[in-house]
This record gives sequence, C-alpha cells and structure tokens, in this order.
Amino acid sequence: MTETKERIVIVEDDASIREGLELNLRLEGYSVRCAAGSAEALTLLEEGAPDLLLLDLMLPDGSGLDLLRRIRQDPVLCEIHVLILSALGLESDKVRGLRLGADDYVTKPFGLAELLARIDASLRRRRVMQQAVIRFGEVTIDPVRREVTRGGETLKLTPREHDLLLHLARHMDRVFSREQLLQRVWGDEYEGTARTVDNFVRSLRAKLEPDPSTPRHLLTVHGLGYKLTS
Amino acid sequence: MVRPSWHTSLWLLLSTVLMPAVLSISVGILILVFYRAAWDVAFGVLVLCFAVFAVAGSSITVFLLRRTARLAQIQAEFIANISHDFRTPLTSIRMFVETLRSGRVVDLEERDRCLELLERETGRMERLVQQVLLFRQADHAEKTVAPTPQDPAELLERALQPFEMDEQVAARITREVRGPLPLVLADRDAVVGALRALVDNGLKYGPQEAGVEVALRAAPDGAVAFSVEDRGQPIPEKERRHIFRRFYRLKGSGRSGSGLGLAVANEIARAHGGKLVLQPATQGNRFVMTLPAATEDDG
Repeated sequence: MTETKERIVIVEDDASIREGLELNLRLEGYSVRCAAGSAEALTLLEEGAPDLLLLDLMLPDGSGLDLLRRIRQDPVLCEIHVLILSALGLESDKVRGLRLGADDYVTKPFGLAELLARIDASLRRRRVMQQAVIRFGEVTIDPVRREVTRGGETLKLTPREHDLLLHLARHMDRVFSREQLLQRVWGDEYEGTARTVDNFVRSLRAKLEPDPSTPRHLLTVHGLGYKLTS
Repeated sequence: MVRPSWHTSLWLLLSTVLMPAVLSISVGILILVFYRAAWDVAFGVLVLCFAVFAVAGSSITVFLLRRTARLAQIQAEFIANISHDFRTPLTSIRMFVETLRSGRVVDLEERDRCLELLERETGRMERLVQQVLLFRQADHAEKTVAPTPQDPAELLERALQPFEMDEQVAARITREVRGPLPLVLADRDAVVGALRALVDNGLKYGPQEAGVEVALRAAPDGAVAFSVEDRGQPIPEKERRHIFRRFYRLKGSGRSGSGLGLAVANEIARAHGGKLVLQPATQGNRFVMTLPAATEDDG
C-alpha cells in the first residue's frame, strides 16, 4: 500500500464545530471529509473506510451510538478507529460509548491540543498494528520492508499479490467475497471482475503453497470467497 | 434532590389525616345514634364537620404541593437543558480561539473565516443568555416592569441586534417599519426581551432556511403593533390556547427550546396593558404584540 495521507471522517451536526475541526485536521495534514448526520456518514463510509472516525453522539437523525453499533457489525467498516466527541460527560456515557466499541472518548468543550494529540495517538496505534510482522506456517510477512519469506527464502511477489496476501493475513480465518477483496485491495477506482481476484489467488498459491493443487493456507470457501488460515 | 413520591404523600395523608378523620367521624356518628340530649346532636355535627374540613384541607394542600413540585422539576430540566445548550457554542469558541492562538492558520481568508465563526457563536451565546434572563423574568413580569416612553423603532432595532451578528441568521430576517409611530409606554429591557423571544421562536420553528418577517405599525386604537411572522407549520387549532402557557412545547416539534418564550412575552405584553395574540397568516404563524402609546403626561 502506498504512503498517503491518513483519512479522517468527521460526523458532527453543528456547522461551526464541524468547520473548525475540518480546518484543524486539514492543517495537521490529514485528508478530511465531513457529514452532518448518521445517514450522510454511512454514505461517506461506504465510499471507502477512513482511518479514523470522529463521532458526535447527538445527531439529528438518530444517536451516534447506533451508528457506532452498525459500524462495528459491518465486516468492511468494523476496523475503523472511532473517537467519540460528545457533550455528554457522565462516566456512564463514556463507559457506554467505550463498551460499544469506541477507541477513545473526548468531552465537549475540549482542548484543541489534547484532541489533536489523541487523534495522533490513535492513528499511531493503528500504524503500529499495521506494521507488525505476521507469521503463519512457514511464511513470514514484513509489511514495512514489504518482504514475504517461506522457510527463510524470499518470495518474489508483485505489489498487488503482496497487498492481497497482507490483507488476508491481517484478518486470519475471515472469509472475504471476491467483491470485498476487489474493493479493499484494488480500491474503488479499479474496474476489475471476480475473475481478476481468482487469477491473483492462483498465482499466490503457486508461490506460497507447498502443493498448489491442494492448498493448506489460502483456501476457497465455496459460494463465499477466500480466506487465509494458518 | 429528594422528592417525596406520590405514594409517600398519599401514605402520609392516609396516616396523619384520614385515620384520625375516620375515627372522629365514627365518634360523631356514635354520638348522633346514641344521643340522649339535644346538645348531643350539635356536638355530633361539629365533630363530623371537623373531620370533613380536615380531609378537604389536607387534600388541597397535597394537590398544591404536587403542582409546585412538578414546576420545580420542569425548572430543573430547563436549567439542565440550557447548560447543555451552552456547551455547543462554547466548544466552537474555545476551538477557534485555540486555533488562532496556535498560529497555524497563516492563510488570511481562513483567519477571517475563524473570526467570522467566532462572532457567530458569540451571538448564539448571547441568545442563550437572553433565554436565561427570560427565565428569571418569567416569575415576576408584572411586578418588575417599569414602563417609560420609548421609540418603538428603536426597541425593534435593539431587539434584532444579536441576530445580526450572525450573517446567516440576519439574511433570514426582513423588517418593515410603517411610520409615523407614536412613542409607546414600555420597559425597555422587558419589551426587547419579549421581541427577541418572538423572533427566536419564528427562526426556530420555521423551516431551516425560511425567513421571518418582522413588522412594526400603528394599531387601530392609537397603540403600536409589533408583528413577527414565520413560515413554519401553522399551529394546530387544538394547541393554540395552550401556547402561551409556561413550559408548553408544541407536540412533535422536536426542537430544543425552553417553552418559555411565548409565555413570558405574553406576560410582559399584559404587564404593559398590551396583549400578545396569534393571528391568521397566509402561511405560517403571525404573532402580534400590541403596546399602548404614551400620552402627553407620561413624559
């Protein structure tokens, strides 16, 4: 995956707060998009999952907590880091938000420096998680050096093969449909078909599996898609 | 805050009043049934009357206490809501001040935009403060109003000031002054507060971007009429007689509000010897507040 600006989506119903947050995050070097309500936020998220979601709780079209619940149940969106930004400051409010799957909770009015530091920390944790070396079977994936080895021997993968393997390895044992893989590995702009995925899976197997005709790691789940298992 | 529940007060009424009352009623009946002399009858009737009055009196007391408790609860809710409402503009103000102080905004246009938003949020704060003041006035409009002759156009000008701090809001308000107008007898702060409440209502209950027409003209009997017309849903016939009640909020309006604006504006108008009425409008609602003109000897 190429080095790009980290993407943040702001969900906030108050126009001034929204504009202020957008300005500050843009100045920090993030790529920022905004939504004024839950429905708008969902449309934005469907266009591509951001790295972080800043979520207000009292939205005109329903509670931010409901939106959070939906995000956590969605197979594609569930890994977004969510920071709740709310005027509800009771301990019980915070506990509820964090229990529902928020990664952090900041009450309004907030100190700008603190908020920016928390956003930075949250994204840093995400980066660290993404840079961790993954091992399964005889295979080792080093995402930082973009290097895959099998039994100590470096495999020659194309960038796309590498991304596909990394994506499946980060979600061990989870099944992805061909469409989901296309969207998440190739991106929205790419005009590919399910065939494309099949071709890449076949060439990955040839390089990765001891016996490509009876794969042990990169498995086909009939009627659903593919998964990687150790 | 500990409030006795309905059951507690009922139980108190039962044990402290009803039991003794039942006992004295029995005594009264026994005296009347087994009377020996004529004064026994008078005695019995007196005992019965005593019991009846005790029950009636304490029932009324409980009823009044409950009403006060409910009002206190509504007031507590109002305070809770409004303190929450204050957080929104406060969050913006703090954020923009810190943004500007951090020195990160170098673009002049962006800097101007920050200042513009700061001004807008300050106007919002001011309107919220106005609501709290209105809440304080709600209790004693009649006693505190001190009318002096005032220029009605100037009153209107003053009332619209905080709305003009926000360009978006200002663009929604159109005003029309049809002169010449006599001076009116008005307590400046009270009338300005009432007018702001009416305009605020119109802005809040109309559609998002719809306008509010504010007009000032002479009324038939030498009085002056301030009218505020919005483009909101006409208030249903059934609810019209309730809207001037304190803390009454339109059903299904879903907007934040104190439920005080119209009530206090109405009380202020009446304390001046004027009135506030809801008139039929072509579309939306038109509230008209009339104030009596000042006479020669008022000056």
